[in-house]
Amino acid sequence: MVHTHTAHDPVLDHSRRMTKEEALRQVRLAKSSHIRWRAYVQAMVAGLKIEEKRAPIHHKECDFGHWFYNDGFRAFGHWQIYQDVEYSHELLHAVYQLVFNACGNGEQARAAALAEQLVGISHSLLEAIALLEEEMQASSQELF
Amino acid sequence: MTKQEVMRQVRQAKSAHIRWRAYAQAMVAGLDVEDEHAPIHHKECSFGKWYYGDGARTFGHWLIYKDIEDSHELLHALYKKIYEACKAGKTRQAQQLTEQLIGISRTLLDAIGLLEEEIRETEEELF
Repeated sequence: MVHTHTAHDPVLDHSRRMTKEEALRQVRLAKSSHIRWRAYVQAMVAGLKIEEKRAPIHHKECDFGHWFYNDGFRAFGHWQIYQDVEYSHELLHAVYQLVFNACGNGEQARAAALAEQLVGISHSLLEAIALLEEEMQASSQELF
Repeated sequence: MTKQEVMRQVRQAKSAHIRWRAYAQAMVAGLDVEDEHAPIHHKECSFGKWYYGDGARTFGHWLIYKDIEDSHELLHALYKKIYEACKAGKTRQAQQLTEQLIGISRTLLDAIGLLEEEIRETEEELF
């Protein structure tokens, strides 16, 4: 196996435009980092001690947000579908703020109920990202 | 390995995880489950053995592969709490935690789904 996704990966080289294939891989990595963030939120709600940096509250501070407002914005910022992804992501973090507060106040049942909603919004976000991927696939543009 | 073989290996690993989850659920439901069927440590379950063995050899450098590790470790950390609650006779607490465990398990399966997506998009000769 020689296919690697490391820090030397061209997908992570921010100084040049990406091929469509590289851009799609970057979106998959962003999805993956969002799912990792969700796992940390769920673990916190379940009572595990989670460092705040693992599941940041602000939507621009999580790994997905870092991608979305940097490389993602440079490549797709002018696409309507890209902007639609932003709404789901912002809403998700707004709900997470409620989850975080409930956990902090010891309201475990409320936190668990809110976390269920959060997972639902996370699925909506992933569906929105799938549409972005569809748009990329359909685009005649070869460099992003 | 061919891409098809790699995909089959990942499906088997997912299946092993789901089997582990079923044993954990059965234990919480009050069945007598041998520890070997639902190991506490994340490197001792069948999924973990694949992940740190063949899986690491095949995908060890993929970032998407590494993202799976966090969900899996969190899952086992939570399972440890469930196991202890069961042994202490705190059935209600164990049941509540198991709902959370199932949620994280689904998140883990979503993460594996992304790995499968990445495999599908990767050229055959790179395996």
